[in-house]
Amino acid sequence: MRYRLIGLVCGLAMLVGAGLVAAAPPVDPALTGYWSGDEVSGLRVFDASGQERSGYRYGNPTQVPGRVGRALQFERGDTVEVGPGTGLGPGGSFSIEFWVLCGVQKTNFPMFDWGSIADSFDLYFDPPAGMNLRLAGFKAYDHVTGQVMQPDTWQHVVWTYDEKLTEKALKVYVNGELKQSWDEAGKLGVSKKPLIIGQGAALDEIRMYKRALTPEEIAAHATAPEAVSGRQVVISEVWPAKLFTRPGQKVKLQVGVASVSATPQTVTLKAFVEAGLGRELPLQEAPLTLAPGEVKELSFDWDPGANLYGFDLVAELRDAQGQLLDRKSESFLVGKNPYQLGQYAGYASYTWDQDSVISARRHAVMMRSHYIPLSEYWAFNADTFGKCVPDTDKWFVGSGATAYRLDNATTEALMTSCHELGLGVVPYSLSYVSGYYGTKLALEHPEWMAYDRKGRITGGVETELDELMTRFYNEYPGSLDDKDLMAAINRFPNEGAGLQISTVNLANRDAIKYHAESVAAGVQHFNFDGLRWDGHPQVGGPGDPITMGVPELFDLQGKPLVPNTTERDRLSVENTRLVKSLVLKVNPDAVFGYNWGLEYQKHGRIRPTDYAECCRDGGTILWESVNSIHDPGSPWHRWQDAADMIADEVECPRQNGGFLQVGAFPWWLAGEVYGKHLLSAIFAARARLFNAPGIETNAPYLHFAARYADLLYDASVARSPEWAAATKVSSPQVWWQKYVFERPAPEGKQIIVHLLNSPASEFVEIGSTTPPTLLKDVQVSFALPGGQAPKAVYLLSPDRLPLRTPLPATPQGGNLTVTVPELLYWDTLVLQF
Amino acid sequence: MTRRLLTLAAALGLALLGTIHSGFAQVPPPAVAPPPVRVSEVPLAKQSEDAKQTSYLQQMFLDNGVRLFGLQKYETVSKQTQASGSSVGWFAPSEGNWYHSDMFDLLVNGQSVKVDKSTFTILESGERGVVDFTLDNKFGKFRCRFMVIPGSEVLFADFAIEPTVEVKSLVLRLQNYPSSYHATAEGKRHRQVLDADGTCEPQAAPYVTDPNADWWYFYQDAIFDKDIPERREATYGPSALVLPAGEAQQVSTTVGDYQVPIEITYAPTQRHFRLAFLDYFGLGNKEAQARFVQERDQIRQTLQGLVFVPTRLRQAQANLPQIKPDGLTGEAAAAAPELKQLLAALPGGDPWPQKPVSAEARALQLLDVYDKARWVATKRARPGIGVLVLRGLHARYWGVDEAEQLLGAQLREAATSYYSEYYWKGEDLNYFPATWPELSRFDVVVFANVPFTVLGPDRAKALAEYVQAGGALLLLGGTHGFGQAGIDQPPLGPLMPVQPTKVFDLQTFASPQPLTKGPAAPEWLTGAGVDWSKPPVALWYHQVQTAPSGRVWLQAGGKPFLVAGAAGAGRVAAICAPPYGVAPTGRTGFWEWKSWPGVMAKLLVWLGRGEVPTKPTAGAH
Repeated sequence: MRYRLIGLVCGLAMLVGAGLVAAAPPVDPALTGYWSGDEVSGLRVFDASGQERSGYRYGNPTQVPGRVGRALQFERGDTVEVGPGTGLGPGGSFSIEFWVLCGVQKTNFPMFDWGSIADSFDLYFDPPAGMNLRLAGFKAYDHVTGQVMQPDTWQHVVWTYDEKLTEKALKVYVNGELKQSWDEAGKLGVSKKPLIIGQGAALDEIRMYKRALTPEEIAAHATAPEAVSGRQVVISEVWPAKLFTRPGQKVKLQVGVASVSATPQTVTLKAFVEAGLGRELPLQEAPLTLAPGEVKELSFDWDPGANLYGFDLVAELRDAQGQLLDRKSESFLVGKNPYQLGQYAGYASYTWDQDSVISARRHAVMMRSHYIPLSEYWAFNADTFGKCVPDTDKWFVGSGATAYRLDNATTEALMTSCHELGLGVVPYSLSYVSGYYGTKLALEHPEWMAYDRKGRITGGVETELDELMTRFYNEYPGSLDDKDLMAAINRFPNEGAGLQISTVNLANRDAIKYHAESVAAGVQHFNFDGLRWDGHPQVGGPGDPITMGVPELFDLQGKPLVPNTTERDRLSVENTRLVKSLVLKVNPDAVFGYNWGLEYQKHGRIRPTDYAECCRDGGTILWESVNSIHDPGSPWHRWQDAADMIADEVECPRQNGGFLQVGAFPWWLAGEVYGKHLLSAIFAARARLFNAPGIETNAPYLHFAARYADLLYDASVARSPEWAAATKVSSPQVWWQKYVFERPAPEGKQIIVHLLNSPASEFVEIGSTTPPTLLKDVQVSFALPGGQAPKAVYLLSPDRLPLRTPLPATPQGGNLTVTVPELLYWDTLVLQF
Repeated sequence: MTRRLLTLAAALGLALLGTIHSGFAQVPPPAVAPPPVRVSEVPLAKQSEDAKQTSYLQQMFLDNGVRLFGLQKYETVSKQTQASGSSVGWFAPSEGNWYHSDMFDLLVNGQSVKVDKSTFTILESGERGVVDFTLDNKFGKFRCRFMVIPGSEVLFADFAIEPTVEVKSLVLRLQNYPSSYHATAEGKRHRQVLDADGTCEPQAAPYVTDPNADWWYFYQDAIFDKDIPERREATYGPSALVLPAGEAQQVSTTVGDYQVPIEITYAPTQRHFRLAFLDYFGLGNKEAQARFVQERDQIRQTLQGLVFVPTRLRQAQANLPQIKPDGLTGEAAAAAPELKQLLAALPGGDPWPQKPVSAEARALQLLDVYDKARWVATKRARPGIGVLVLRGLHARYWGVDEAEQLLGAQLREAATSYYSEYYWKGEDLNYFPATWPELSRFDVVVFANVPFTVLGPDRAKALAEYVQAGGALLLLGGTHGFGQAGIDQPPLGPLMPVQPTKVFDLQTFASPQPLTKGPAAPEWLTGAGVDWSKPPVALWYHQVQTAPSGRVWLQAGGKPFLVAGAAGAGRVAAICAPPYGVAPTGRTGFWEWKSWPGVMAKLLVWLGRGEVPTKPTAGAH
């Protein structure tokens, strides 16, 4: 949403045709945020400034009667976070205005906080000295009012700073009266941290401005809080309550309209859902009258019917003369399977402190903000959450104690936050029995384990970590206070420790049953939305019965676990079906993903028989081989080879009824250029993405893939050799041959051609800062079969705004030539017949 | 690369955890100045093989608590010619800087002496960590001795030369990749070498300096600098080199855009020389430079003052009059006079001037023979027992911890080492005594589900000598015991009281089998001190055969359970059933038996001292 706002501001002149028109100026250009406390939807707290700075609730701030309408009551630990990186910051001149109702102040409580140490800004109760506004970079850091906050009465507080003044530049007003001033000078940096509002009081009508309010304005606001500076009515929020909804369920769509005018206003609100390439599905078009300062929330329970994939909720506000005052939109998804729709992200908790609960919610917010409908929860081991949960609410997971320490509270916070925002969560699970539980099982049931050629238990042993974990579980919860134990565990490296203990003996039905039940128990316990399962043998490929490259596995008698690949595949299918059936029993809507490894290189297109089983019913194959294309040793180190390989590989799971996902990229190394080329190649190929590299810089790509999911992920979108033969592209720099698709869309046939600009470097450079050469006026011509002209032609791209632009579509002599004005990374042409 | 990184990471963790625990109370060591230097080894093992050659890798970790230094030796053997070559690199903390697989070459008359096979051994662990890389070939004998001292982040090195050819020129070539392997992606030339004359930028011709004036060199990259955020992940930090006074004649440095080769020329008559290597891992250029400026004089002073002669030899030299053949026979008696003669010729701080490599090796060999011969008497004179427990999977269920607790004051010293094994890196112990003085502190070494294969040939040989000289081993089974453990392999195999019958030897009893007394069971095991009124059961067993030297003390289901025997001057015992399975209601697994810790405690004392307490051991849980 953020980048679109910037685009709107920058691109006013070019907005034509696509339904996007210039927004009216905001209420008060200097009003940077306005949280009235009146509009709250689930975790979302709306911003009425029109600047798209809605926040998310952390903890449990509740709505209570306010000075105007409703306010937000914050107890210790309750906050609203806006951002991060909203660009919101006092900068030069500023005003911070709010109404506050607090009890007798005994201890410090922050009210507003953002910034790091270098660009710090916080305002907090500081009894008995009153309030303290701390500003780094100013002459003084502390600015204490010296006045005790009056308990149990609403008070109006305004802090202003006027950078043009040399004396008394910083002032604080309480109930409209100037209380204190300081000769200050300075300028705060614009922080990339979130603004955190809350704790210890009720706050109402919180407003921030990038100018100093005048004493007159402040006095007026204090006496007539409904009438604040500004002249307009704005759309405060367009909010699909859930990012992802399943067909057959109603989609809750909300639109907020806020007046910050001192007089009653009548406007016309048009709300609709935009599907496909501009198809409007109406919700409401009616006049609205708002009293001074009033906010109105409109809620629609929209039935998507047969419509699937990506949509925009759009709201437009017009005045009596029909002039557009404001327009906002937000994307959402409807589909059977969140695995199918674009991308998903991994989640793991690293700590057991309170922050882990907050970080779980942040993860959900991050996913929602980037249109990522599914998260993977790295639980690794079926037993870890399946069987230990009844015994302890804290546990270790897989890959080294340093890496994953999980607990009920964090996991539940993740699940509730994700579900409330319409996001799915699937645990990542293995057919290993690792860590404490693996050690215990190997002790009690050595025959359940698999052994290598040397007769050793497979996977590995890390004795000290095993013993520390045993001590942890046996002495839990007392051991949480054992600093020596925790310090020792923390010293273990991540790498490898997750491989402690064995792969399960695939041929031992008791062992397999135990694990399948464990997995299902875990899914049920946390209400997971499915499973990513590494417990099937295909990862290891033929000859590697179960995962992780252990070449040969034996039972305790030294006999191979399975006599041949046929039997291995048979057992694997049985195993996979058992796991699937038990999970579906506890969650009938569960979705499934599976790993796919390097064996592709060795065996070409030959898949073990369980491949089809994994793909069936929308199973998703995660293929990680592509994540090392930046390595010169990769067979796909050339960009074109990588792109071609992805485009071709997509077809394999499709043919079996499933989806391809590529990913596990080293996002911490990835630069923007690499990320954009890679995402283009993945999305254009109709593959899904796991763990986006450079999630912030590539946010438009993730949004694009969600909004236009129908063009990418509808099962009917198929390669069209006929149309590929009928297409010509003027620039040899453009990769397009593998990206010509036909879709029998509900409203008529669509021809989809993705145009990918070739990278500046032939080989993949993960940290490259050199973007591709911008191609101008790329001519794409189509020999139209039977001379039939398309009804419309659209140009779509995540590289610029608007995302979608209509192009002239007049054929000449049975040929249609369209000009793509600029191609940076990825453009898509859609011919609508 | 991946494997190497993983290995390093694992080793870092292991080495950090490798402190010897002093007893189960785990009382922290007194807060004294810098901790001693721990040295551990990942034995030489095949690394890779292709049509042309086979490569082997051996790693050494020297951890002084301030920094973990990782050195590794690569050895390659050509399949066609059988010719071999070796190299040593400094791979931790960084893989770059002092090149991780080949940081130096020694050129005699322009030819590399790194041909044929080599040895890479631990010489000292404790007050200082020392490892030797030694070559013995047609050019002569050559030794590079690396040393880590407490509290220092410097890797000191001493080269000793014993040529068999006439030396006309002597050059040490060093390989440095400043800060990063990433250098050519943008085609920029940004390597830099700072010395007393200023900054050397990349150029084709080498910079030639006089090391008496320019005795320090600082290697950095102007772009791959920790202080440049976008490069932070791709850089290690700078490195440096310090030379002592009066050794080198010339230093020639070529600043390339990728590699910085350094050639140090010595007089052909020079027979040993020393260097100090620094790696400012994790630091930005500015901070590293500041530190280097502050510490380089001191480092040079330390380098010049270091005595590279082995501590044991210096101590023996200081006690020369006490070295006597009295009471010794055979090899040990003969060793004493030769040892005295060699030690008498050893100069104060320097190696032997003639044959510095072979003379020292001979002196150490003689000292080992002499010390081992004296050990039985030494052991008898000291109180209680020292126990080293090598802990593998499920070790905690063996009751050794509880037994040590029961021993109370009789446990003179207790140490723990942890076993790990991954298919991608092989197996490892996070601690094993590196030298005879270190090993001889213990009376019993317990292999608690730890295979012999983890030892490697050198440690296995040392342990066999230890048993022959009067030490004791206790084998406890499990997933990594007996058949899986390679306990029949020489040199330890012939000393064991049991022999495995096959690799996959773990077998379940058809029903739980009670422990029964064997024909040779001693009184202390079967008598009043142990409650045999309700014998415990075993559910699993290892399929082993009793060796001629073994005596079956306890049985289960007709299979040997506890077998003991003598080996040389030492003792060995094996418990041939693992603590596996779930005992049915009303039965007790032997490991959960109330008397088990007492049995284990007595067994340890019998092994360690050849005697057992006449009364039940004192001490309580």
